[in-house]
This record gives sequence, structure tokens and C-alpha cells, in this order.
Amino acid sequence: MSPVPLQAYLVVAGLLFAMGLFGVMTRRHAVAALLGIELMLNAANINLVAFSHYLSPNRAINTVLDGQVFVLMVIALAACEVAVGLAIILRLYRTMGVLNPDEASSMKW
Amino acid sequence: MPVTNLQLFLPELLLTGLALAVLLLDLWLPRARRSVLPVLSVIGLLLVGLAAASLWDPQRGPVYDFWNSYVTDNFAIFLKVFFAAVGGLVVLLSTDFLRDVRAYGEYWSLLLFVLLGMVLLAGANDLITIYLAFELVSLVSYVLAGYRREDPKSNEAALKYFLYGASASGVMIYGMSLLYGLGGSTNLQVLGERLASGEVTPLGALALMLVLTGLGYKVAMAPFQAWCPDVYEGAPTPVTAFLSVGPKAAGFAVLIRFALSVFPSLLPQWQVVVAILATLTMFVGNLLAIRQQNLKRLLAYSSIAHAGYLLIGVVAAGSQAGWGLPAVLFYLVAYLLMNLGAFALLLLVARTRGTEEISGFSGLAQGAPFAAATMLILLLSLTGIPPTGGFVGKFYLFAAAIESGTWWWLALVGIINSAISLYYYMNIARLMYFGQPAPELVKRPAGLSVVVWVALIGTLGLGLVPEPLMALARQAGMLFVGR
Repeated sequence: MSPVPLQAYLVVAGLLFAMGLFGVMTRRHAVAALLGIELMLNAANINLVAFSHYLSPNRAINTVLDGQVFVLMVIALAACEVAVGLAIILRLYRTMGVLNPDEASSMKW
Repeated sequence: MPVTNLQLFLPELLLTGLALAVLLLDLWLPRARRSVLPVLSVIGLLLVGLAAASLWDPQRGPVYDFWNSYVTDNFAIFLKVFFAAVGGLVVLLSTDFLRDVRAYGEYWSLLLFVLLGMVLLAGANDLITIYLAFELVSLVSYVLAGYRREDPKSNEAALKYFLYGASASGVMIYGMSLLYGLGGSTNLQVLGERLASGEVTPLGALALMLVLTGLGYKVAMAPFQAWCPDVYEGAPTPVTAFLSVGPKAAGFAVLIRFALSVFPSLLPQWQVVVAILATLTMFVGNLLAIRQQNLKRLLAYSSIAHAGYLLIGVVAAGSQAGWGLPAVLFYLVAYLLMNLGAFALLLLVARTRGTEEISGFSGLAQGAPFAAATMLILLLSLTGIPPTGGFVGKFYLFAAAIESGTWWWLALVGIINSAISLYYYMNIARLMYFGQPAPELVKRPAGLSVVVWVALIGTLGLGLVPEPLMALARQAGMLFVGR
């Protein structure tokens, strides 16, 4: 079985990132936009883990661990981000009764 | 080495302790006694500022600690003192407002945690540290923007801030992951060396652009400024004042450190991009400010414009660090004073007349001549007219652009934009002095008075004797000179 080349990981991550960005920009629903943001973060995670693996001189033992540590930090912060984001979305729903950033638009220019 | 000298982290440790203490006291103290928290915060921030200032040593080079992920140098120390000052002034600004709107809970500890994030951002020297500190600032800022839970506008501001902010940091972290792949390290200096040795790849340029997007959002650089007016209008006024100075300055700190440490090899490229975006930022901010009737919104556009002026300094710092960096640092201090002063007066007027529109300032000169005169001086400073700190700051920024040679035309753009801004700033002055007379202002609350006095004395002081602060700013900027 031949090993999966680095490029394959990068392509997957790139596609995931593009999907996330597309979702954030086009989705009308605040929660869906939040999902798009999570996709973008996970695209970065795939990149980091893949690079961390391929940067190690000996592939059997991973020695360049910065990327792995980075991923753990990103995962933890993504959880915080969701907590804050959902709290904000809930407050908005209670005061305005909408979940759509476009409808929740009392301020213009 | 993990830590060579724990004393260097005294400001951070003090600030962390203060934030945690305020958080716990907020929980334990009975509601009636919680008014002690802002007093404690101001005293604590004063100590943090003093602790940071005591570390100032022009002779000492940068000290890298925590496995090179955190650096203590004069640039970071200058900013730490600056952030402590921002925090202290914003606490003073918030006290009466929070009492008036009967806001509850963790405001003070949230504010202190954002300040901690900003202080960490000033010294962050590793992609991971930068990302963590950046998110600490961002996440808590979203909460602060939505602090008035029952107010739909505040909620809307928080949601917009959150969606834009989280997307921008997603883009930034993707850029950072590419950088890590290219350089094989998360340390800024190692990355800089490894990127400099190789040739410039499209992937490197892409990573630069992605990271620049994330930071550009934080400093409200065009075309990532769309969130700024809505957030500034909807957020509680003291929070707006804070957001317009604090996180923005932190964004500039990390932008400068990043650009000068990691991307010397891509210097001409990022200079061109930032120069174009600076021009765009100045024009967008100033042209859209002209038609604003709400003063908070006007100050939001004005803060976009000022980010544009500061970007001139960043571009110039690429060619002439000895000129560009001190100019940026000086302008940040001047902007802090004039902007927070303007917000303090806005709070005062809004409190008396119940409106945040510009019309609230109408006829202020008859009822409150001192407040009107102070506002006039702050507006002159924001426009950049002597004898104020704003004038000297702009002078240094434009001088840095001219000194850098290639980028002299940015000074021209800046001067044109200052002329445009004269129109909307002086419109307020016109209303104050020639508008319909209106009732006097209520008795000034103590906190706001202090901020107004500090802003007035600071703005005039920087305008008349800029040299002491400029000397400090030069020493702080020395670090990147000759790279």
C-alpha cells in the first residue's frame, strides 16, 4: 500500500476551506454560518496535522509536534467560539425573534 | 529555556491576578458593594502599568522566553503600558454608564480579560501564542459588544461582530497553517529565516494574504471594515470607545511584528498591498463619515480613517523602521487620548439630552462652554490641526512616508483625506457654537470628568511638547531597525 501523498491532504483541506467560506458568505441562517466557520477551522487543522507528519524526518515517529499542539489549541478555541456564538444567537432570537443576520438589521450605512 | 527571569512577566501576572480577583469578588460581594470593583480595577491597572514601565530598559535587547514563544522587548513594554492606560481610562468611562443602564455582572472582569489578551498579543512571538491571544481578545470583545442583553441593537452588533470576526480568524488560521507548512516551525524568527532563504512561492504569497485578512479585519482595514459601523453603533458606548482604540492597537502591534519578522523576504509585495489598502481605508472611512448623523457611527467611520493613517506608518516601517514604527506608536497614544475624550463628551451629552445624534451637541457652547471648548480641541486634534497631539502624530506619519522614498505619495493621500475629514468634524463644531441654544449639561460624573481632563491635557501636551513621548517611541521602535 503506497502512502497517501501530502498533496492529497492539502487538496482536501483546501476544498473544505472553500466550502466553509462559501457557506459563511451565502447562508442566511446564523447557525449555518457558524457551521461554515467550523469547516474553515477544521480545514486548517487538517493542514496542520498533515504538515506536522510530513515535516518529521522519520515518518514512523512524529517529531515535529508544533502542528499537533496547534491543532489541540484550535479545537479548544473552536469550542469556546461556538459557546459564545450560540449564546449571542440565542439572545438575538429572544429579543428580535429572528435567526437571520440580514433580517436582524436595524442599522444601515 | 522556559523562563529566564520571572520578573519580566510581572505585568502579565498582575493583570491575570487582577482579572481573576475581580471575577471572584463580583460573585461574592453583595450587589450594593460591587461599586468597589471599578476602583479596584483602576488601581490594579495603574500597578500593571507601573510594573510594565519599570521593565523599560533602552539598553536591553529582546528577551525570548517560554521556548521562544513570548518576547519581552521595548516595543512590547511600550504597548503594555499603553494598554494599561487604555484599560484605566475605559473603566473610568464606563462607571456611570453602567450605573445608569443598570447593567449587571461581569463587565469589569471581561474588560480585564480583553486587556490581558491585548498585553499577550503585544509580546506573542509564535503562531500559536498569537492565535490564542488574538482569540482571547476577539471572543471577549464579542461578549462585550452584546453586553446590554435586553437591547436588540446590542445583540445585533454582537452577532455581526461575531460572524465577521470568526470568519476572519478562520481565514487567518488557514493562512497560518500554510505558513507552518512552508517554514516548518511556528516561531516567527525561524519562519522569517526559512522563508527568506527560499524563493518567493505563490503559496507563501497566499499565506501572507490570508493572515493579512485576519489582522486587517481586527484593525478595520478596508475592504474588511463592513462590520465596524454597525458594531460601534450598537455596542454600549463605553465598549465602543474601548473597541475603537484597544483591540485596534493590539492588531497593529501584531501586524507590525508579523510583517517585519516573518515577511522580510516578501517586503515589496506586502508593502504594495498594504499601501493600496491604506489608501482605500482612508477614503472609505472619510467619505462615508460625511453623511452620518449618529455620532457613534461617525466616530466609527473616523476610526476606520485613522486606521488608514496608521497603515501609512506600517508601510513606511517596512523601508524605514526608524521612522515608521515610532510614528505609529506615537499616533496610537495621541489617538487614544483624543478619541476617548470625544467618547467621554458624547456620553456626557447623551446622558443629558438623551440622544447620540450629532444634533445633541447643538448649542453646547452656550450651556457648557468648557465642554464645547474641549470638544473643539479634540476635534481639531482628530482632524490634525496644531497645536494638538493629532497634528504632531500625523506629521510624524507623513514624514515617515516621505522619508521612505517610494511611498511619499501616501503622505499626499493622507493630507487630502485630512482635508475631507475637516468637513465632518467641523460640522460638529459649527453646531456647538452656532446651533440653537440648549439646556445646560447635568453635573459631570467624576469618572467622565477625569477622562475629559486627561484627554484635554494629554492632547494639548502632546501637541506642544511631543519630544519626550517621541523619544520613548523611538527607543521602542529601535528593535526592528537595521533588519
